[in-house]
Amino acid sequence: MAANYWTSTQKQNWLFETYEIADLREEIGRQHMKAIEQYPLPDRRLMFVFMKDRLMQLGKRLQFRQQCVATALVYLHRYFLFNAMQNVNIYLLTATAFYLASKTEECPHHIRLVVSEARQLWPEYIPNDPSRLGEMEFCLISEMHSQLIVWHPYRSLTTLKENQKLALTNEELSLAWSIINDSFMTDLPLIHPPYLIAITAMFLAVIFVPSKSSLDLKSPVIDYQSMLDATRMSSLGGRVGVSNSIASALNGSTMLHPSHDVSKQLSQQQNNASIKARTLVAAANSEKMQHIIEFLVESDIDVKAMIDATQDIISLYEMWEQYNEKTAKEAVGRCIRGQHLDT
Amino acid sequence: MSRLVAGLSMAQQYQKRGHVTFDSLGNGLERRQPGNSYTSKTRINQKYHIVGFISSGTYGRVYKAVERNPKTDGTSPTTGKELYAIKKFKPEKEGDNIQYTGLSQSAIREMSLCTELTHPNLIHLVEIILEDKCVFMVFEYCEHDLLQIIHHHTQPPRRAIPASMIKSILFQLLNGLHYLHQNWVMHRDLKPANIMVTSSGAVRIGDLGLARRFDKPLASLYSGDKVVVTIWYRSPDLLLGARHYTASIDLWAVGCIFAELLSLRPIFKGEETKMDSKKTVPFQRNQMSKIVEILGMPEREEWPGLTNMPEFQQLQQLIISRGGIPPSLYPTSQSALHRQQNQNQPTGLETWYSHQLRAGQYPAEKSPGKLGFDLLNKLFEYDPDKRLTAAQALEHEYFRCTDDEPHNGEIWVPSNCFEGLSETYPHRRVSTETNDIGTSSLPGTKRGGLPDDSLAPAAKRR
Repeated sequence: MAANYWTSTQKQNWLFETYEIADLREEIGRQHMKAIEQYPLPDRRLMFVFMKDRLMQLGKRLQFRQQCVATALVYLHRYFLFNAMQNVNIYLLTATAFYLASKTEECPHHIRLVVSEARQLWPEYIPNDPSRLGEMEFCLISEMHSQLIVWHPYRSLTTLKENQKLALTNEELSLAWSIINDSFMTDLPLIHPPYLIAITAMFLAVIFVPSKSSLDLKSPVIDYQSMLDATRMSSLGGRVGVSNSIASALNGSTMLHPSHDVSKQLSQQQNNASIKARTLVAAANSEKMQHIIEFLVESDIDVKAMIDATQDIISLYEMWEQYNEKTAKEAVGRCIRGQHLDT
Repeated sequence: MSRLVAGLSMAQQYQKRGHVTFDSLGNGLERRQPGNSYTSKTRINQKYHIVGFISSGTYGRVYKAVERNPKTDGTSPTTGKELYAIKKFKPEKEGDNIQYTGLSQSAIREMSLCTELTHPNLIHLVEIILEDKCVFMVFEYCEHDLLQIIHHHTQPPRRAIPASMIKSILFQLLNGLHYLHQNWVMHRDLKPANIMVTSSGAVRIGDLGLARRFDKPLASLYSGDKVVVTIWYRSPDLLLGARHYTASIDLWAVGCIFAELLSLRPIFKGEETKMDSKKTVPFQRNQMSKIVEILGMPEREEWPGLTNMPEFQQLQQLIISRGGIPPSLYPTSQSALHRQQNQNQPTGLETWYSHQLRAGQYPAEKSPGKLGFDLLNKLFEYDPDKRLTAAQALEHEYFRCTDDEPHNGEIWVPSNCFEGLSETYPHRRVSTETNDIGTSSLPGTKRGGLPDDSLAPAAKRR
């Protein structure tokens, strides 16, 4: 990772404690109680699945990189820290996030092109006037205090790939890549530094690979290199049984599962690296896992945070199984029309 | 901005702000009406008083301003009002009926990079205000810039810039550039007009509108901006069509600035070949020949990648059309064609350099000297891979202090470029005719009263 994540506005201003996020949302809930009650929307994570799919739709029509989609999703996360989803035209906002991210990620598209493509996709929600998207860009930038540069876990995963000791296979890497893609549906980008998300994803992938075949999952992308340029966002989400099988794989690995003694012990022993190392190594049941655990100990990773992140990912997949695009679309549409956000 | 309230996390600040607004509006009222319209939280004219107009460019205009009600938090001892330079990005289309047109790539770059980067030799951003469909970037005010300082020295009686001042400027410039490069940012538009100097002699690199990160290029650099760097400061690798250029292009520009500080005129003052109607990037033949006139022809022995450059054929035609030997401004620079073979003969650049030292009447003990030449020569390395990096340049012997204690023998340069000098430089010219910072826009005029070298890349910014 380049040196400047550590001084970045992301690290300084855009990482929150979970209670801080909860407080902010509670306040939005208080301020916009009426609208929120009148126009119920699916779970936040499912709303992000919905918005991710909208970004991908747009991305199919415009040349893009998945990193732009990731950045756009982080912009949306930041925006909704201070705004109720019921108060904005989500289609217009999503197109705006795409447009802005395409510029900050240096693959810019012209505003007219973005608007016309978005209009073809969602004619009833995108005004035929580029200045509306331009105005929304001001809202978005202003909420983010012009802090537009975002650090993603992808690069950290690339660093992990280069670590010979870990000897990650292409299959593990591509799974980890998909898990990172999916992490953008959760609050993880607002809570944890990118390297922690990458390491968590790697860990989950390594545990999950052996049991994956039982689920009959095809590896999303086999060639790691091609993932860097992938024009789609591979994902594990929405498949029945993913969360269960990850959870049971975790249990099988006898560590890091929150209910497990080892992980409890670990959290208490955060500061004692040698005890931590011994406990972890004892828990490992394969040579590979041993290498990974040694790596975790050496890199002094916050195990408690990793456990939390793991939990968030598992419950995302649980939630994702309930996702129904039609329901989400209808709820969003009702809200936009009812709130007169489409004019 | 990140400097809202010390000691509070952003979440807490936001919560505070939210409560205040909530309370002041009374129960049941929403903080913002549902909808997609934008209202500014801070109004530029409420917070700042515009003193005058400084300059304009393709991006918009720059104004001098003071804060109307400076916070007196007791921490800053300044009694006078702080000065600011406010850069206003104009919307792409102008006219009476201004619309949101989407922010330019250049505005986005400058906003996003300036909020991330902080260094004593980089222009300091105070805040960004989005209002009335315009972006206002509020910077610290810098009284001088290198273009203005160079210009001042060309006024009769023409006299050279003192060697100690040049050294301090260069060191600070390299220091700021090293920081940028360390952070994976290329500036891509270094030139005297973009190098600010405060009244206390601190050098600040400004205008990050062309700067971009090069740590994770999603697309080749070339595909984004076909043309970078104002022509006179553009490196030979760029002129020869390099697609995957590196941060070394900034070091070439530093060399050009060093030379200009010595001679008070651009060293490679070529004429720009305009882009044709097909928007293909032309070979900058005249600019390339200006470089060759002084440095001699690049040779593949010194620059292995030379023959693979897209415009290599054009370069060869340059030789043929000039009868095989580039014309020389400086008597011995013909030998530069074969400078490997003629070690004892001075190169074109050496001749140029000693000519400048003589013309500048530098006293022997206060001269940029041989070390200055060595640095310049290494910045003007044709092969971008061999060109000095900012880090290497900062360690060059030229910057070793030969004064008495306490810094004798160290790499050390005063951080005030005016130190020990009596010259007073005129203040930045500020026109008070057009103090209106509002959205009505006048046609852009050129930087007040100064020879303008910034006309060149009008097409590059969008």
